[in-house]
Formats: sequence, structure tokens, C-alpha cells
Amino acid sequence: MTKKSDVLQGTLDLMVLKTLHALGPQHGFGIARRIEQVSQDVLKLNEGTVYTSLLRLQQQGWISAGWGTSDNNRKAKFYAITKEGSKQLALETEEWERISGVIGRVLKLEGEKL
Amino acid sequence: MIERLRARSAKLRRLFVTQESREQHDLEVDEEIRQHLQQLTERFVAQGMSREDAAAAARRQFGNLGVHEDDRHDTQSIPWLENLWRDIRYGIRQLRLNPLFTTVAIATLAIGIGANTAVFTLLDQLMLRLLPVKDPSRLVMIWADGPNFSNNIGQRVVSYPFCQDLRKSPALESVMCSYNTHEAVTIDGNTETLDVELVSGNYFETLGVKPALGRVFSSAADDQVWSGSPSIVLSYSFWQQRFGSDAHVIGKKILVNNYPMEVVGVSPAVFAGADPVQSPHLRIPLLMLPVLPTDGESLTDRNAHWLQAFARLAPGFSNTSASAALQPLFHQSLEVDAADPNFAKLSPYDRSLFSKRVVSVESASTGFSIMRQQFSTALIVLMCMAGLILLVACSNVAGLMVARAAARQKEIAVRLAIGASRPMLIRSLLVESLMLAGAGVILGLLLSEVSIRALLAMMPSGNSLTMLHAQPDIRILLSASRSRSLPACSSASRRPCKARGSMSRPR
Repeated sequence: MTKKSDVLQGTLDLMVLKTLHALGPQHGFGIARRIEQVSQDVLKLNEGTVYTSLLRLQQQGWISAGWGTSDNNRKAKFYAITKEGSKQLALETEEWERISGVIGRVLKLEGEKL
Repeated sequence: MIERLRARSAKLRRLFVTQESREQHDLEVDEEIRQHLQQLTERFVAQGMSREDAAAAARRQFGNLGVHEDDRHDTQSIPWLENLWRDIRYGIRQLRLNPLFTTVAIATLAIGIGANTAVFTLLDQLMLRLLPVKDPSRLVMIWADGPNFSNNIGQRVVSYPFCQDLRKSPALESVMCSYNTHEAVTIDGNTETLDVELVSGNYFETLGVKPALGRVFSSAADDQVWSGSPSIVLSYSFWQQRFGSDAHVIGKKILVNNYPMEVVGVSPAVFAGADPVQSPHLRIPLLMLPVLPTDGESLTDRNAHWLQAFARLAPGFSNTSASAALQPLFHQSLEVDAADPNFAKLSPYDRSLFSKRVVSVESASTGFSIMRQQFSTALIVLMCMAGLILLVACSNVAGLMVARAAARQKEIAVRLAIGASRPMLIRSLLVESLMLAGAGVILGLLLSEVSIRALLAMMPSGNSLTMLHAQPDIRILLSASRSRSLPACSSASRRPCKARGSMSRPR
């Protein structure tokens, strides 16, 4: 059995933001399901951390929260990405790709002759 | 950066909403989590687990509820602020537990801080503060001490012709002179005796002082013709007190020694003149002397010493080099004295004193005040006493704190035992000491104002405008209280160690 990786510090917020961007308003449970589904059991997600992340994102004004009704007709809090959140998402995506690109290149260096 | 600011402001906002709405929000999150766990459990049940296993699995997948709650709490709060608030409440309870100690400590501090603030406030105003004029550091006072055959009116005085000689010297840039006197002044038919300063036309120019209203004297307008410029510049406080700050006072006719003069302006509020302590009520040009009753003052007589002379040092000159450069000019004045018939009758000793007379040039950055000369010694003695009081107060309170620390060992031991860390203990004791010090400072402030008033009441001023005020200087208060709170802190920080020491000893 392969060991699941812990969610990288700081990346959870980005994943939550992206999930809301891709799927529209979601409640916490939905976000956790989506991340679980996409990560295909590679990531070990403590689902409770999603709620801390949601709080942080709210503080930044990147998401907004409101009450709605879930699929099974239960009252639930729904979170939606804001305009500012979309901007931030674009920014952070770009940053992430830049850095992961660099790290990828560095890791490939090994075999090559310098 | 912006993100941290935003998070901080969100945390601050949360501080200011009501307790209920905060609790409401926390309840909502709890409800969300409960639903989340429920849905997870249902999902596991659907996958074929038993209900208990499903609930356990759900909790595993969700993670430690307590840890998450702490995380959320930290995300939403400012921990140091919360801790501080807790320490403050704890400190207040502790201080109220022992009212005698608290009262004595605060009162001791208040007396120490109050006395020091009072004396330093006066000392600062009387002796240390720079004149509120342009570039006070270049301002000097010029005079000559020693025996002479002249009419001396006042301290550090020179004659008007000598003043004019000084203007020719390259060592000085701008020489002005002034003379304080009392005159009968008639305003709207009422005559009163007021402090009047006779000043040369360039007085305000030399000091670089701009009028608060109207104009001030200028050498062009007020220094040309004898008795030719019957104008008055009111001092600010007199303008406030006597004319209710009425701007229409400009152009008003006022009789000075029954000679009609016209108010042309008001000097600025902070400006008292070359004497920072006592301000004249009004100023008139020196060349108006001929219309005033004189008693030895003269614009022509070299033997009439009555003016205080101030000047700005020319660039490149120090007090000493300026004094040397002025000596030849001074020699002319000496020759006038030497021509006096009485000179021949002088003893050789007096004659040698006479020949050794030199011009003194002294920095006047803080001005020149008779009151300062009279009271500086008394104030310095008072200051030393206040310093001693502060020292005694410090050691007293430090002693009290140490005694209290010994009495509180048990409490501290208990707090350590139930898990308080050393930094937490030190912080809470520091907060307690600072609260004591803070209360002492506030009380000291009130006390200092009262005592400054008492000190001021001892200074004779008659109806003159005294520029000393009773508001304690906040900078001085801070320095007095800083010296106070530090020892309190250090005695506080010693305590936990002591408590720990006695705890670790086997019993």
C-alpha cells in the first residue's frame, strides 16, 4: 500500500479556491468530496482543515458564504468564489506553475551533464 | 503583505462584534461540521460498513476535532491580544485581592512621578527650552561686567551708543537691544501700569519672529526717527486677555504715558521675547524713549547702561572669537569711563580690575531671564529632592513587590503545576506591574499639575504675564514613569524563578 502524501502547506487554499471556481457554489462536504475525487487517493486530506481554509479565504474576501439548500434538501452553508478570488486564483495558478516548472527542471538536472 | 493586513483586519472586526454574533458564527460552523460528519458516515454505511465503524471512519477522515477547532480559533483571533486581555483581568483581580498593597504602591509611585514631573516641567520651561525663534543656537547676548562709572539699570546692560557700535562689527550679523520697563498705559480711558518693552526696530527681524496679526516692527519703519514711530505691538496673551482676540484692535489708539500711539500688530502666541518666562504686555520702538519719563535712560549717553543687547553670530565666529573681535569697540566705551574725573581717584586695584574688563558674549539660545537667575538654584535643589523621592519610591515599591512575591509563591507554584509556562507567568506578572505603574502614572499626572500650580503660586509675578504654565510636559512624564516602571518589571521577572527554586527543593 502506498503512503498518502500530506497536503502541502498552503496548497489547500488554492485547491479550495479552484474547486469553487470550477464547480460554482459548494458546501464544505462537497468541496472535500471533489478534492478527494480529483486527487484519486494520492493526497491524505484531513477534511476538517477544509473549514479552516474556508475561514481564511473568507477573511481575505476571496470567497463569500451564504445559506442554501443542499441536494438532499438540507440547509447548508454554500461558499462561492468572488471576483477578487478569481483574480487571486489566476495569480496563484501562474505562480504555482512557475515554481513547479522550476522545481521540475531542477529535479531533472541529475542525469544530464552540466 | 496585503493578505496579512486583511486577515488582521478581519480578526479585529471579529473583536468588535457582539459576543452573541461571535457565538452564533461558531455555532454555525459546528453545525456545518456535524452535517459533514453525518454525511461521511452515511457514505461509509452505504459502502457496507456497520454504523459504528462508519462513524469512527468518518471521524478519522475528518481529523481531530479539537485540533481543527484550535486552528479555526487561531485563524480568527489575535492570540497575543487575547492573552493580554486575560492577563489584565487576572492582574486586576490579584490587585483587588490586596487593596492595601495596591494603594500603597500606587500612591508611592504617584508621589515620585508627580513630584518629578512637576519640577522637571518647570525646570524645562525656565532653563532648558530653546527660545521659539529662528535658529536660536546662533543667538548671543553681549555685555561687559566689571566696575564702571555709569548708570546701570538692570543686569547685563550696555549703552545705546555701544549697541550701535556693535552693529559695525563683522562678528555680529544683526544686533538688537531691548529694555523692560513699566509705563502708564491708557486704553479706552482707563489707565493702568503695564509691562512695556522698548525694543530696537530690528528686534523681530533679528529673532525671526513673524506677527500673529498685523505687522511687527521693522528697522526701516521704526528705527529711523526719534519719536517718529508711535506704534505698538501687543503680546499675544495680552491681546487675548485685554482685547478678547479682537482683530479690529489693529489701528486702535492707545495712550502710553499720555502720548498717543497706534496698535500695529500682535506677536505670536508662543513668543515671550528674549525672556522666555515673563512676557511684556506690549512693545514699543526704542526710539520712542523721548516721549517717556526717563530715569537715567538715554539714547546718547555712553554712561547710561540700560539696554540688553542680543545679536546673531556671523558665520565662522564662535562666542570667544566674537568676544575678541568686539574688544576694540568696547575700548571706546572704556575710554569714556577713563576720562571721568573720578577715574584718577581710583585705587590701583580697582584700576587693574577696570583695565581687565572684557566684552562677554554668551549663547542666548534659551534667552535671558531674571526669574531664571533668581530661581534656578532653588529649582535645581528641588529637582535633586524630587530625584531622591523617586529613588526612594522606586526602592520602596520594589521592596513591596519582592515581599509580595514571597507571599505569592504558593499561587505561582499552583499555576506552574497546572501547566502555566514560565513565559506566561512572567507575562502576567509584568502586566500586573505595568498596571500598577500605569495607575501610578495617571495619578502622578494629576498630582504634578496640582504641585506645579503650588510652585507657580510661590513665584512673584504681580499682574505680569507669566509664560510658565502648569500643564505637565508629557515627554517629561514619560521619562519619569519609564524610570519607574523598569525596576518594577525586573522585580516581577525575578519571581517565577524564585518560586520554581523553592518548588524543586525536595520536601
